[in-house]
Amino acid sequence: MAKVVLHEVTKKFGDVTAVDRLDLKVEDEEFIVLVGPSGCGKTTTLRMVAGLEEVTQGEIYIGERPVIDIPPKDRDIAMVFQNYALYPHMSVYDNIAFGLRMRKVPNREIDKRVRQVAELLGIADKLKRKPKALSGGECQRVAVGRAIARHPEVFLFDEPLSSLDAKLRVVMRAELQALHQELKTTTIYVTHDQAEAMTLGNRVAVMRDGVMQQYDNPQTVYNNPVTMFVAGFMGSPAMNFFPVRLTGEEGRLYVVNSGFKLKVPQDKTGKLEGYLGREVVFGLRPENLKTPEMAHDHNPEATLEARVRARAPLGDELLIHAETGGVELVARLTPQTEVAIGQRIALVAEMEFMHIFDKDTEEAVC
Amino acid sequence: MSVHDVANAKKRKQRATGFSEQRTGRAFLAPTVIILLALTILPFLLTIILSFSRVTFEGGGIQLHFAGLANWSRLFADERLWNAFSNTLILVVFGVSVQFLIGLGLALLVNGKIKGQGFFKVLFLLPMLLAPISVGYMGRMMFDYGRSPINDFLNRVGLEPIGWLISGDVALLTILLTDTWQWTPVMFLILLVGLQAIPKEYVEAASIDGATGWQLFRHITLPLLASAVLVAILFRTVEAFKVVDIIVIMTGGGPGLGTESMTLFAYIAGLRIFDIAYGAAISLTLFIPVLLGIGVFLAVARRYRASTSG
Repeated sequence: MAKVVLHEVTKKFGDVTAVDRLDLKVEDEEFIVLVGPSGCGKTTTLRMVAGLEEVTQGEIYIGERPVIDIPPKDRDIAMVFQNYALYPHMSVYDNIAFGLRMRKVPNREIDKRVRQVAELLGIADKLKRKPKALSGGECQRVAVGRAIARHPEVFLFDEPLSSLDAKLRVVMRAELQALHQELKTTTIYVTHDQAEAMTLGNRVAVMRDGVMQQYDNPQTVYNNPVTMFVAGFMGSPAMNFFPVRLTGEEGRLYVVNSGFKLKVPQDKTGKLEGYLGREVVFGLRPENLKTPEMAHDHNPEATLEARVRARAPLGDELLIHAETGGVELVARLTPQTEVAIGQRIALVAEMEFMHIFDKDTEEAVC
Repeated sequence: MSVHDVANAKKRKQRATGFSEQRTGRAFLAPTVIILLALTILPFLLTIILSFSRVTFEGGGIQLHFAGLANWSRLFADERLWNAFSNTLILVVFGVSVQFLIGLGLALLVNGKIKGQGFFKVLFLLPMLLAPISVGYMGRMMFDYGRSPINDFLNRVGLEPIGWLISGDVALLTILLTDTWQWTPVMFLILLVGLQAIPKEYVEAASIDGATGWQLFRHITLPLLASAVLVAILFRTVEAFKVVDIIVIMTGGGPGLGTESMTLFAYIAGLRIFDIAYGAAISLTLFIPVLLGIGVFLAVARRYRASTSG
């Protein structure tokens, strides 16, 4: 196993900067997830670690070794591709064995390892098949098998679950987690799915436009996003953002817009003093907006009124889209809540979970 | 209506539409089939009949008299047939092999990370775009004994000039060279398209798996290119068996009969000497080895593909 370090790594395609001075440190045995929307540079970053893409500037270390001048095959990494890239003309057995054969591993050892891996992944009865005769999930397992049979220092996953259906994705997610528990191989995993990032990563690196926004454990990224982008990207449905003015009355702070006036908890006021009287962005997650019954709270200083525009009953929860002060919001309510479209309802904002962002820099203030 | 009835009605409807679709399909195919029959199958059958006939021209018409195996027994005793056949076979086997190897090499080069790809593509394809007659004339000028740039060059570097077109040992090789110059681009084109259709993930995955250069080519590129290889070789082989144009221009089949191909032999016998029946028999002798050759090649290719793909 090995740690992976990216130091000020930049990648340019012509005039376009795909990755901009990226610093990333992956500890030995760690599972980290690079997450972000399409075109944020996460796959390019992964491909640079693999050696499939040249680095424009900066250095990458695998273990203690600088690797940017080392070809992919000598980096001791294994990669699982988005479309699996199983060799179509080889059987499952040969697909898994290929990397070992290229490395001149003795045949007996190859056979042992292929069977071990196939057993581990539950594909032992499929070894003679060609990829064409496999289901999506089986292809996925073979692709993973091909990677782990070589016992590499580092695994690289490029959106490996994106072509599976939703149900299978959840199953494979759990399997990958279990596999990492067992093998403890350092892993870099790329996805655009924030739920995948949250569940899989020891740490999550959120990227946007080639720049790393935040790199921390999933709960911290969720609870304390450092920018509006991270706040909006992590979590589904996304965090609600309201343009507000920060006002002060008798030593208390309020966030105010045309639809509501909500009191800022005392412990948050310290960081906000510099913003008094200014326009800021107030953020609150859908689960932090509740009906007074749910919240057991009728405090008018924490309540806003909104008009319901749409409702999405999901079985275990009820999402409502509503409008207050000209801004659309989403609230996650219990399924028993009775609301009709067009109805005005009171929602209690759990202000201890509020976020304030600088309107210009989009950075979190608190 | 029960579920069963619904299912039956559905089936009936499918059958009905299926039937009318088939009829429409056949109607659309009919013109092609008729033209093919008229222009290909009928002449082919006529050729077979001709090869068993004696032809006379009396009173301005053409009369066929059944001649049994006369043309055929004469043909198989004719040394000129075996000469033309071996010339053709040499041109096919060596020509197609060399063209395949050079075409593949160029396609691999151009498909790699090379600057000015577009320029090289056009450059390599140019010979294919020329009419064989022009290529023949070019060949004749380039390989002329007394006035060609090639012999002039040999002369300048102190080597003996070569009788490219007039020496019996060399003339067939010269035809082979010219044919290769003209038709390598076809190989190049088909193989390049084949190479570009291979998803780059396979090569990337293999390069991470540790395959380099030759291994990558042998285990990944070549098996995935098999279909294109098959098409290219088949296409060129069929064409090469029929080689005639550049031979007519460059050597006229000479010196002696040194470069006479099967097609040229059939042409001379049938349309110069005007022994139509004999010419028909010759052209049929060309057809049979082509068919056999292709059959064997396809069988081998199919086995190879069955062993490499699922």
